[in-house]
Amino acid sequence: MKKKNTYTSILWIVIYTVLILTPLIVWLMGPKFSNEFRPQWVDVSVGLGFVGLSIMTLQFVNSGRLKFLNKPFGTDLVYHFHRQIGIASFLMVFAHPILLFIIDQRYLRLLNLLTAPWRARAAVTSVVLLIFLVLTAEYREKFKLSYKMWKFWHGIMATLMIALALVHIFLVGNYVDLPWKKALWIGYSALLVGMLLYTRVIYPIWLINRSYRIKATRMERGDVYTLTVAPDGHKGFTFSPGQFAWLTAWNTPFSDTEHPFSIASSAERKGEFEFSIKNLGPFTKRVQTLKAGDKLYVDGPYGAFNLDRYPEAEQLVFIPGGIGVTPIMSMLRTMADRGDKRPVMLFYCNQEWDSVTFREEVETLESKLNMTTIYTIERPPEGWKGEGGFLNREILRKYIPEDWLGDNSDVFLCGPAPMMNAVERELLAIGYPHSRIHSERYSFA
Amino acid sequence: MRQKYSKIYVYAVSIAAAILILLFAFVKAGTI
Repeated sequence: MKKKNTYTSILWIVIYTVLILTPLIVWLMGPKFSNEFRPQWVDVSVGLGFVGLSIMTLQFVNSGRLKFLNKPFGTDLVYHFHRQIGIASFLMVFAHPILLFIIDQRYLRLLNLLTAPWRARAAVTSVVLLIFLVLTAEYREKFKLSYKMWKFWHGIMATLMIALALVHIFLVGNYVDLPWKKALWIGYSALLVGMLLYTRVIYPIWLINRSYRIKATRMERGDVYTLTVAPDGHKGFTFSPGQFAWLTAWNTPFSDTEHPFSIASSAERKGEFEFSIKNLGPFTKRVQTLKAGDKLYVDGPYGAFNLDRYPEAEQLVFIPGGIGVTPIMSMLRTMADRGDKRPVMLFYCNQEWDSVTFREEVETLESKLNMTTIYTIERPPEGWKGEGGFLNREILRKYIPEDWLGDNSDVFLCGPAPMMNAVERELLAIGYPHSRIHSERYSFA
Repeated sequence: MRQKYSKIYVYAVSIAAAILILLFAFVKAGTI
């Protein structure tokens, strides 16, 4: 499985690289430029614009939540890549006009939208949109934009920005003078339209036809609400323990108002699954009003943070923090159902003992699995005999045997970002290799 | 860790694109 994922990843990286560099190859195949009238730096500037634009068009593919693309890399990595390559392409596209202004200051006249030709008007508007796009993505919280509002405008601005850049290319005409050059940019335009159609129309329709019903609900310790969900007239999907799905309630998938939640139940439980959702904000608070019989839309499974991705692990260390326990519960419940007797160490970190979700079930699971549980409580109750404060290298060293620190054991870490950063540092300090520490991080914008 | 690999790829592909652009521009202009 791991090897297959590696090969698939390499294949996608090669295809992606070829696609973003294709404009350069097409450019090279064309006739020789007229050196007398065109300094080479103008072509350098144009080349930067082309590569930047092809990357931006492909941003619609890597943000399109395509399962075949998410599976080998993991959804979190695809989104991080979207952000990182987005900044790189912004710098390339931005360098295109800047270089032109340096080469010949007469180009500055094109900035006047009242007198400039349409090709320049399209370009200037596109670059202004691009600046807004990057600034609002990087500083969303500083601008006090809600995630929902930002996401909506991010899509609109990106579409307009690319459409105007393509208009600019066709109106300039120098690089689309031959039919096959024209075909390339028509192809990129078709890709953009195709992805928009798929993500905004086709996929939501598919999801609407595969709705789910809530079978049961229950309150858990720590203000957590569990929903048992079953497919409504279809087979549903199978998942690996640790994966997550996007949930839409009170709306249709067209509304683009879904929220990601880890699946908490066993992957061996057929025909239904569970989400355990902590009351942390307006949406999760409202979730507690959902009742049996209510309709939901579930888009999944996603995520590379899953037990089945690392079947070679001889020992397993699970480190959940707070509600980060949900994917870990799925892993433990699945192991119990599968009769998996690999040694497990569970370091369960919480703020208070009374709010330790699933604490009674963890006790039951201990008897079914070859598992040792260590609770670390930030504010322990009086008379607490377990570990207090934050999980650190001393606590980890105290419980993890020396022979668990090599390549034969895997660590699954899930919790709030500051906790994951701190624990990851401690794990590296006690000798765990990077490659054996698994986590997913989802704060992008 | 996986994020670092992604960053390395972004740097590598950006540098490769910049080199190719420079090379192509000068080759096409006939100065190389």
